[in-house]
Order: sequence, then C-alpha cells, then structure tokens
Amino acid sequence: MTSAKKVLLINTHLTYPNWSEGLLNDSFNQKAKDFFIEKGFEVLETKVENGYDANEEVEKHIEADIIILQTPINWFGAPWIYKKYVDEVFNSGLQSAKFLSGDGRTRDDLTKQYGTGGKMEGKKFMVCATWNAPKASFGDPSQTLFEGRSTADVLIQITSNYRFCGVEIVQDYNCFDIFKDGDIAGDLKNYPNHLQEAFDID
Amino acid sequence: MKYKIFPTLIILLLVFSVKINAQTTLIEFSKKKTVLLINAHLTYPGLSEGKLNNAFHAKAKEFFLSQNFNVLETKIEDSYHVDEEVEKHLKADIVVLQTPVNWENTPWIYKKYVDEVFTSAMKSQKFLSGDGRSETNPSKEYGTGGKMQGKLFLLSATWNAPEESFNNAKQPLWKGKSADDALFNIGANYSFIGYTVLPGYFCYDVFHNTHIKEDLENYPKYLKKVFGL
Repeated sequence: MTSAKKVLLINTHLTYPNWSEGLLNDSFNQKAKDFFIEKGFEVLETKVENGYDANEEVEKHIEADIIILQTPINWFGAPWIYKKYVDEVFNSGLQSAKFLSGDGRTRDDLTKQYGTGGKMEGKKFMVCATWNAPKASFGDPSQTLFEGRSTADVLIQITSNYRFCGVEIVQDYNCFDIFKDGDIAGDLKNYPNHLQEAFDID
Repeated sequence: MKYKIFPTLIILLLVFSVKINAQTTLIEFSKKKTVLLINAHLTYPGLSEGKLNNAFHAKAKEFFLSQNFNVLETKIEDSYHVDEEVEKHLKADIVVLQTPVNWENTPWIYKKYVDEVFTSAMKSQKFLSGDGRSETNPSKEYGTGGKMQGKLFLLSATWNAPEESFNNAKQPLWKGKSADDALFNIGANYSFIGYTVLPGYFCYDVFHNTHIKEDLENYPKYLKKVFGL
C-alpha cells in the first residue's frame, strides 16, 4: 500500500483591479487541481497573493512529489510577489539545509559541479504561464525581442532555482497572446493532456 | 596677517568663478549626457550588507563623473517614487543596474520596482506605445513598440556562481548558458521599450573572494569600452 502522491500548486497571480483579476490563472490552476485529484493525488495549494508562512512553504515543498507554478508573465517574469516568495522560502530552505546542503562544489575544485548540492532529487517542477507575447515570437531567430529563445529559455530565471535544489524541470505549458489572438479555450482544454504526458501519469 | 589673507581669498574666488563659468559653457555646448545608476541590493543583516554592490556602484559613479556625465541615482531599498523613476529614465541616456544575484536573479525589491515603474510608464505611454505588433500582421515585430530608442542599458551583477559554471554544456546547472542568458529577463524589459542592451559585467564567486579586487579595478575600463567613451 503506497501513500497517495502529492502535488503542490502555487498560483502567483497578482491582482490589478479592473485590468487583471486573475480569472485566467485561476482557470488553469483549477484545471490542474481537477486533473491531479482525478489521478488520486493529494493536492496542496498556495495562493501567494493571499499570504503564506515561509517555513510552512518549505514543508509543503518537502512533502510534494510535483510542484507546479501557475503564473502570468508581467514584464518577462512572474509578478514581484513571486520573487519575494522565492527569496523568503528558498532562504529558509537554505538556512535550515532542508532544500540543499550547499552549492555542490568541493574545496578541492571550486570550478566544478556548481548547483549539485540539492536535496530535492526525485521531485519535478513545471511552470504554466499566461503571456501577452504571441507564440510566433519564440524559437525564431528573426524575431527582434527573443532572438530565437524558447519559453524555457525565458523562464530559466524561475526554473534554475529548482534545478539548483535537485528538482527535475519538466516541459513548461504556455497560453500565448491572451489579449489578442490567443486560443484560450483550446489551451485550457489541452492542459490535462500536457500534464498527463509531462509527468508520465496513467 | 589679516591684510594678506584677504587679497589671496579674493583672487582665489575670482579664479574659481572663472573656472565654473568656463565649465558651464562647455557643458551647455556639448549637451551634458545623463546616466541613471540603480542599485538593487537588499540587505540581509550579517549575511549581505551590500558593501560589494556599493563598491561597484561607486566605481561607476566615479567613472561617469570623470566623463562629465550628469549622474542620477536610485537605491531601491531606500525607497523611491514611481513617477520620479519614470522621469529619470526619460532623462537618462544610459541606465546601469547594479545587483547581487539572489536565487538566480535580482532581489525581489527590484522586480517590484520594475512592475511599478514600467507599468506606470506603459499606462502613460511614456516608455512604449504598445507591443509593436500591427493589426495587419500580428505575428511579427512583437517587442518593437518602445519609445526609448538610442538609450543604452547595462547590467552589473555579483554572483556566488563561479565563472566556470557558465558557457559549458557539461556544467549541471546552466548547461551551457551564459550569465547574460541567465539574467535575460532583466534586459528584455529594456529591449522591449527600445533600449540597446549591452553585454553584462559580472563579478563571480564572491564568497571565495579570489578576484573581486581585479573586477573592481577593471570595471571603469569595461564601462569606457562598452559605452564607447
């Protein structure tokens, strides 16, 4: 008898009244929640905007097998409340040595293995992001802004923290061009398929 | 004695006022350039007091003053006024961000600064007129709606990560990415509004303190080269 697997769903939408109320990010978060409950997971949740306790968040991360960040893209990153969350939670996990034991380097050779001191091996992390940017602006060297970069390249600012702690990074899921020509309904509909494939769940 | 000091003082004053006048004329003639120096360090008492970032910031300030720039400064931790920050960006020809790397990016107070300042300037259309896409071809030219063309942005960052962890596909964390790739999101905001983003200046492995002194010494040379001064 194995105990139920756990997923931590972090929603880091920041409300801008009458402009960005968070309905879209709530919808994706809910889709993920429904999917994992259906698959027999225990679901832990954090809505960053509603407040949190850094030490509790560390414990949730330790309990969870899978962590998913639901975020809007504000100025090419998560809203600032998310970086505050990361600085607080990861600092706590660093100081208590619960997330990592160090940066992985040995005294003999300070040039090697930087980023292998994590204690979170076996866990998986995924970002689900909503963008104003259109899909066509990624992966195309002729595009002015991203110059051929992928969404994963732009989201490295977020995923690298998890990799630093030993967590495996899973292919991100993105809803593009949400103010103009995006296919929001289609992206919501396909989200469970992506989760099933990305996490290799039956 | 008193009688001797008095004339000397008068002569000194005269000399100085002539000098000041000459300088002012020169400045007006060459349209003095402006640089905005932003310091995003966040203090963690006993762990990170900000001395290293202050040292780089001071080096940059000294350099730009020696090049006869008008220097504007913002220390985010000491608070700021959003509208004033927008105006400082409009005035400045060059923006230099000095930041420590905390959890693979800037301290959170910097992202708060960006969300507030850039959102304000987007709504007032002072930094950009839109995302650059046209109605006729919405898949093209995303990120070309900026109004800040001709301005330059430079990032100067201090890392715990060693230099060897970058640009090497065998390294476990960055897997071949550069330090500029890791911090791409910061420059992207400036590109999006029309700036030219220059390759960053990086001081690595700061807790082992093997080349901080050289990195500080070489910083003005880098500034001179990268800005073509």
